[in-house]
Amino acid sequence: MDAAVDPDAMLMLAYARGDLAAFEALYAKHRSMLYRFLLRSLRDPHRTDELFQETWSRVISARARYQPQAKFSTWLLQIAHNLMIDGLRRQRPMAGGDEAEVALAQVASPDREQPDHALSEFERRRNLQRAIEQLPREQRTVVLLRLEQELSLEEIAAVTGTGRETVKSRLRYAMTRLREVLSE
Amino acid sequence: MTTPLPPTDPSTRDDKLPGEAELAALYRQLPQNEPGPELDAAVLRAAAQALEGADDEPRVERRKGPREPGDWVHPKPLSGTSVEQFRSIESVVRTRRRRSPSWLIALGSAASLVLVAGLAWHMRESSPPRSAPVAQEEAAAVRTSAATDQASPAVAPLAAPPAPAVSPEPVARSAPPSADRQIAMRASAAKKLKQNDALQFAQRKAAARSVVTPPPIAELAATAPPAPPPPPAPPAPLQEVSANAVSGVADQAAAAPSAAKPMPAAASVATDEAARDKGTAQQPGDTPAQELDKIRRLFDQGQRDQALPRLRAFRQAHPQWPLPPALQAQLQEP
Repeated sequence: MDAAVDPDAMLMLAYARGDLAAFEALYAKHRSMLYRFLLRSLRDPHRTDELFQETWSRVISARARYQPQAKFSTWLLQIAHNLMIDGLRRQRPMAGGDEAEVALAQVASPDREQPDHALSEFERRRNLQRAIEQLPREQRTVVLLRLEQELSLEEIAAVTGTGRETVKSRLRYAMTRLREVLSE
Repeated sequence: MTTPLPPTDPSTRDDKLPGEAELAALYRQLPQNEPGPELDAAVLRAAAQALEGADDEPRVERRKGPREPGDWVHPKPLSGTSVEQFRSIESVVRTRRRRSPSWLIALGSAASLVLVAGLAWHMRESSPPRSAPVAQEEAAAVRTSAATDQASPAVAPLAAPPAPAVSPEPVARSAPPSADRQIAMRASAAKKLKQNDALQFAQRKAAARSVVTPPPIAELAATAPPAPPPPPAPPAPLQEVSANAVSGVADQAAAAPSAAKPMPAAASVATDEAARDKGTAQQPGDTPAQELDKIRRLFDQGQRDQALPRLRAFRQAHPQWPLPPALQAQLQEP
């Protein structure tokens, strides 16, 4: 997508000119995606809240310098990823597996799920969730960006600051591992 | 803050990996977590506050690394500054403005003084020094010349021409002459020196004709047509000659002031005169025979006024020394 015609970039530019409604529209569109990415990467609801707020704070502060050279979602995820890496470098302990499972399970399941196959589907989702959590951090990040945001390899490379082939390799390893877990 | 735009050509977009579609479908069935309403309210409030405070508060942007181009703290607007703050800021600015010129002025003054002193030293070095004896001699010569003018009208034709040129000089010496005047004076002095040289040449010819008794200069001047000034004393040995000149030789001293000044145009003539007089000047280490020889040469050159006192002094110093007959005859003349 051309960043020059990215509607999100237009909204961001409008907010930089003082249009608060543009920011509200932008926030409504990306809040869930960003929050899930952070929660599934960090597996810590409190830390997720902090980084979520910090990410948007960075967006607000940088409104005057913003130039639509990339998709807004790519820029937003890049900010969140960098903040997350900074947090990991400070050796902040992440939530344990049980705590993360409880946190992720607190969210209500979609209403469309039927009771007859809810158990099997629940087991599959739980297995997928555990498999994602057990992936190395770099592989987990690229998987989340790919499955959650449906970003291309180049966009993931831009967000994570790595090369396209590195992203592709990490994604291939991660997918193989997830398929193995789901086939067991 | 922005990232480079990835390639947007569809042909270059990566294909789905094997089994990715199934994993993506299952992933979408995972719990769809949402941020809490408090979180939403906090973010939206921060966005609104940022817009409201944009006009009032200085925007200090966070910086983790070193300063980047364009990462500036914007100045606070004047509307948000109180009168006292503005006055204090202005006083600080004024103090800084006052401080910087003060040392600049001091430095400039010192540099100017050094420059002026250097120029003065250079000019003093370039101009030949005027010794006190020369000045005294010149003053005495002027006085003597004036006295001679009043006393003997016979000498007047000879002494008169230099007088107008000489008389303004003491006045001019008291105050430094202007550049134009100096140039004019040097030109006239050079002209005068050439005339004196011609006259001296004529005198030498006459002295050669009458070897023993050269005619006095006053007589020569009386017979000579319109009276060029007598030959000037050369500049270099002036100090040596001054001892003799001050002793009372009026016509010689009357010409000395005009020649005592530095005259670059007549430099070669002055050099010749100096070389000539060096052979007859009285030296402290001269033997009696050398002194007698110099006196004899002075008589030959027609400088009887210098030779005769030296001969008398020699006679007094060496009464037993046998004098040549020519010098003996000079000594016996009145």
